[in-house]
Amino acid sequence: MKIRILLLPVVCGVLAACQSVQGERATYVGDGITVDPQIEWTHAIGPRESIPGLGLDRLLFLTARDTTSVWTIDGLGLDELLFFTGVTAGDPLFRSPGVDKKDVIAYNATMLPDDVMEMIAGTLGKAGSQQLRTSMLRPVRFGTVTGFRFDLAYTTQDGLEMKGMALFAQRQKKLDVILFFAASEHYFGQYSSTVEKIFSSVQVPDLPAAKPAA
Amino acid sequence: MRFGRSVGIVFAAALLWGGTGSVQAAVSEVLPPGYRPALDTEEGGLWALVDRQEAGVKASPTLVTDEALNTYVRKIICDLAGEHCASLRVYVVDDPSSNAMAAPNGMVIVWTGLLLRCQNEAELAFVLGHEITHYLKRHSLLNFQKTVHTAGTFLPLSIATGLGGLLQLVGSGMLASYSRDQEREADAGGFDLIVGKGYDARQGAFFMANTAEEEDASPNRTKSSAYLSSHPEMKERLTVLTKRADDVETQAHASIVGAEPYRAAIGPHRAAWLEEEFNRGDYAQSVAMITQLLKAEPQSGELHYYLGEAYRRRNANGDSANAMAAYRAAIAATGAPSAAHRGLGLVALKAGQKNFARDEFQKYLSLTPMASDRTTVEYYLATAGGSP
Repeated sequence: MKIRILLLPVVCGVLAACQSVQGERATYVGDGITVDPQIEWTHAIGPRESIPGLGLDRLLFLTARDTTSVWTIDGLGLDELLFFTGVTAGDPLFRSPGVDKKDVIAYNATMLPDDVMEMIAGTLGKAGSQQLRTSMLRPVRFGTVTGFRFDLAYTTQDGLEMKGMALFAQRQKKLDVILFFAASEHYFGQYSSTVEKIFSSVQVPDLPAAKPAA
Repeated sequence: MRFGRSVGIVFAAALLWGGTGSVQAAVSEVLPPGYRPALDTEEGGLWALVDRQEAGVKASPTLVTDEALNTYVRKIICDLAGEHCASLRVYVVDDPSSNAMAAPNGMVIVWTGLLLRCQNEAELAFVLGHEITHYLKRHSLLNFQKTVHTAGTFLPLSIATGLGGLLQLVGSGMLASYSRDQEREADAGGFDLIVGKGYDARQGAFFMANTAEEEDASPNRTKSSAYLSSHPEMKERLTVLTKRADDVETQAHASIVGAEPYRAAIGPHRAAWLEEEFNRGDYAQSVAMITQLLKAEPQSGELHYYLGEAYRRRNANGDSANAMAAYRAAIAATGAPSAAHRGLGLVALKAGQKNFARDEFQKYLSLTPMASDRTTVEYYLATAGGSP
């Protein structure tokens, strides 16, 4: 916990320069997906943004992908809502500092829901999450398509116990993931119902109509 | 000690105490039992730092608290350490890395990934004997002094306590790995300790050979430890250990292997450790490691099942067939979880074998009617054109 406290001023300084995501309106998170944020979130990392040189936390990754967003309320490391949208075959979900791309599990469009859950867990494991457990993989709605939910729990390298929930869907050979995790003490319980509503608010564009056979 | 993929940890402190105490000129002698350095010495400062880390380790949520397992590991280390037993405190940490370490103050940490990989008590005893030797020979202190006095490294003041703090120390740039001579000395010490207690002299070399084989299973992966870049040294160490075992075998020797008590001790935890192993995301190494375990336990349905899981997750050419064979072997053996049917269903579904997939999913649900993933399996069943 001490390291978290030491980092907070730095994180808050970074967040102060970031924009806020207002509630009660659809917010675009990439790959045609919008969600209703429900409450005001600090938009820590947004599409086409990167935070070169920061790298203080295991998930403050440096990425060139333009469809990654990270929101938080109380600060990175305490609660994080992450959007990884439009992940294509051959790409990892994300890459942590110091972890080579070839060492991270890459997405494959033939993956079954179990495979995707295992990919997410393996990626978090590479990022340093310990005692990681996934559970309750189940189908849910992801906008108008079938998506999947699962729960997760892990311990950070600093010994902070975290709980999380993940929502994902595979559309047109691409993967969209919304991942929420927070310190199990206080923060997860504080925001889990809000995140449930965000998950339910996902909107995706209709698939283009199939061309009639010639 | 660097037995595995993860970075081996060597404690080092810095000039927090520099100038306040005398540098001990000769520290290579073996520690006397019950030794504790004076606080106004450099060694005392190093111990104080590690004492603080140990307090954090004791409170870590990753600590394995199962008393039976802790008692078992503690007994092995105490038998090996003899009169030094009271100076050593062992902590089992829930982490899939294959690692163990002895801190200069007598704290010994054993990662569950190491316990998963050892095949018997003699192998674990060799690793623990190796670590005890690092402790008794004060290798950490020697490295600390070398780092501080030749590199002049400073310790960050914001070091956390506990395992996170240890990793900070590793990443602080002050990390000094054990030298090759120190590793050789620790190998020799570990070998002598296990032979002295009647363990099979070959088990140390067996463990190291298996570790090297597992590392080699992912040749294209980023080398994460100096261990990997020093394979010639590893081969030399293996040669030395094997030669010494040959010599011992010409003498009367008890040759305790201790496979059964070891399996009894880790058995209640092994399935959970194998699940965590997959979160390392290196399925090729997982395949190699589980294959090694199966050589010693060919009738283990649990191991066959997890081998199937490793193949399914790796998903390389030929792995569908490999996974199916492993799941089938699990079902034919004893102790396989019902999830072996689920695994067969998943592989068959991806291979387009819908009828077979449907049958296996239905078997899984009939064996596990309260499965937490029941709705997902029902989704797979629907995909395969069936119903629960």
